[in-house]
Amino acid sequence: MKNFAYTRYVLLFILGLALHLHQGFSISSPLDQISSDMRGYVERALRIAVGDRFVTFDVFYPPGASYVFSVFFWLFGFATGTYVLMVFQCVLLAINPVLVGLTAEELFHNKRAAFFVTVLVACYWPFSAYASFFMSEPLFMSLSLLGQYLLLRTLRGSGSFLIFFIIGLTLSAALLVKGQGLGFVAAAIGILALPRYRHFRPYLLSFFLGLLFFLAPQMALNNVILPDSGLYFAANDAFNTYLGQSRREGLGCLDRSGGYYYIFHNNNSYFDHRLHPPMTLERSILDREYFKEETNKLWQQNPSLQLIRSLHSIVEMFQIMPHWPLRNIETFARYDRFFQQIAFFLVSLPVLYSLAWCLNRKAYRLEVFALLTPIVVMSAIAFLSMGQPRYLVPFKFNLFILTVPAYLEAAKMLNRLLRG
Amino acid sequence: MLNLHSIRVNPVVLALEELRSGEILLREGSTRIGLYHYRRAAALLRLILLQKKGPNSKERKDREKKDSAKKDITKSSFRVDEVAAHALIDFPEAPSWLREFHQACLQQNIKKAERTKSRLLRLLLYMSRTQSRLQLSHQATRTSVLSWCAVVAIVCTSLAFYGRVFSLAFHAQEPIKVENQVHYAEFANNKKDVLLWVEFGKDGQLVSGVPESGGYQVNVSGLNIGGSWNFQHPGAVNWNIQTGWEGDIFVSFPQDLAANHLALSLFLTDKDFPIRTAHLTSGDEIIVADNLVGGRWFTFFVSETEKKAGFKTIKIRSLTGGGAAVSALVLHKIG
Repeated sequence: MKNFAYTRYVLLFILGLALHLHQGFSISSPLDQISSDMRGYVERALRIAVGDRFVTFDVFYPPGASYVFSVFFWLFGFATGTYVLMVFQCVLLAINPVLVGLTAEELFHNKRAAFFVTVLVACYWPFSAYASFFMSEPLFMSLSLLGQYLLLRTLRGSGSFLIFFIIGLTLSAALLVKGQGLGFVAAAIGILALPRYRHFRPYLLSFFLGLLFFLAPQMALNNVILPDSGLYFAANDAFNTYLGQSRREGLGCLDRSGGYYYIFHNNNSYFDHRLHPPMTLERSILDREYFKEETNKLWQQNPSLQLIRSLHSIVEMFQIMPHWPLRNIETFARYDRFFQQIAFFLVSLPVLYSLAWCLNRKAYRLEVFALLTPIVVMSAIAFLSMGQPRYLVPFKFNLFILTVPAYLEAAKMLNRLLRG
Repeated sequence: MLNLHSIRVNPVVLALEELRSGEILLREGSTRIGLYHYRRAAALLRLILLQKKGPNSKERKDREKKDSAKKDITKSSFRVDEVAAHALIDFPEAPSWLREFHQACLQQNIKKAERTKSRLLRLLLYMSRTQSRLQLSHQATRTSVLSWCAVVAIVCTSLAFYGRVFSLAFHAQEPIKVENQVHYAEFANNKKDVLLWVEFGKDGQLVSGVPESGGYQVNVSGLNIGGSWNFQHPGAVNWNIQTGWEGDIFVSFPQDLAANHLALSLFLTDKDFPIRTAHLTSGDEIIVADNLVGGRWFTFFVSETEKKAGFKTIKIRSLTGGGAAVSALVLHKIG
């Protein structure tokens, strides 16, 4: 019976892989969308692969995706490497529904419900659409889901130094790919801090060692590239925070001494909200201290306004809007909106029912805590910085899993009805 | 089968076999009841015991008295036991008392669950004690060994990668500078096959080398004369036109060439910028132009339709490293 359950996942993986390959090779190739962030990741990866020097701007983005891409370019060359990378991304995207199913099974001990959620996730096209872009999301989604699954599975057993090191390593890699990985790291630490898991505390050291394995060298490297810049793994945190909190359409940074000008526009400028006009600053885009000070000034000048803006950022993150980069392609934008609207009825509403049911019955408290914490932390990040709908995408998997109690109850009710 | 023990869980006698995989197989006579990992058994037992005599055991007892008076019990205490029972009924031949306990947990039937819970507890307790007497050396199962190997491989690869990255931060490799664009001369050796040789951006002209008669024409759109190289190389190809984002090259040729197999080749360069790459499309053919150090020719075949029409278009789009730089175009026979 165990083998049969895994056979279903294997078949779903193969089908998903075929569909993602079709998405990437036939519908829209990532090679047609190398612009903006995608171009940044690919260029940096190619520069690492050919051994080109680092420039100070290299500390701006989280480097994880570029590092992984660079391995493909180094092994296969750029031309072949892009195609192999496309296949690799499709494999990651096909694995995600399987990881979701395994996590749901681990938490709720119902194979059928878990597989149902797996199918729902596999059918949610906005996840698959990432096969058409060289973005950090596919890698981030897989790493965070894997780290979460390993942790939740380990909690049922007795743990070991090795497995906790692996969990820390996986979440560290996720954090290196996208700063939003903080959500999953916070959830892991929160769970391990619970009194019922105090017997895992001897393994916390190996967990943190795993966590620091990628982060510590990256922070050191950032200080080599840009000396005396503090401890961080990506310098875009302060810039994005100021861009979001100031509610500007765009922010340009002219660095006369460095001889460059960078401008980023607010990804939510296409919402039907009024934003302030774009602004140019005569500052380095990497001057984190400056952006932190300016953000603090905004709060000091008008704290109630900033509070409203920050709360609004959370609302924006949950809004049903086509998200970047899918909205670059008109048909993709339409489908994205359509699927988000369907997901509202098939996912968001059942999640609310699940939460109410679990609160009422005082059931699945740990499961709800484990699945909701990353989303809550992401909302906190949106509150402090900015909330784009695409930030929520990697966390939507947890929402899908949270529908299980609602669908189980629905199945029981249906069963009772049918039996009279 | 490495060890065999038996326990009496009234009224049945269960046999306990430890398998090579580290799992424990329960049997009632010849009937297999379940396959259980002893580590999981110990963890579950700890959870059950914690529930019974946890840090706030008095509070728990008071609460349980109150709850049982209200015929209510926390779902979580059933959940742990339910997991224990669930794991033990992997096989359809599991005893009825175990199935009964599992059902009772699902239905939250306290009385029914309590009746069978004590049996389960004794069973798990025995398994937990038995575990400590078993050979632990086989704990390093194949799975553990593989996991260690995988972790060591990941750690070593990551350290090697960071080593390279740090070395780039301190001392980047010098970009390859080519003194002579050797590849440019490739077609010079086969001049009889060359029907048209056009140069772009040479001597301030966008397109040069197109004969005035003969039915040939070359036009460009979206490409402009590119800046000169940072480093001047003797004998090097220093002329080029460059795209901003993307551009097109249109080539017309006589239709009486249709009898020949034709190809159209473009010479792209990196202009001493090693990460310059471009995306070339013509008809259904796609070429990713990379590795442009020293310049390279990229060839498109002219289809029958294009030969009959006497017209071919090549779309050039910059991928990385600034605009794509094109220096020459050759229409030639092949085969």
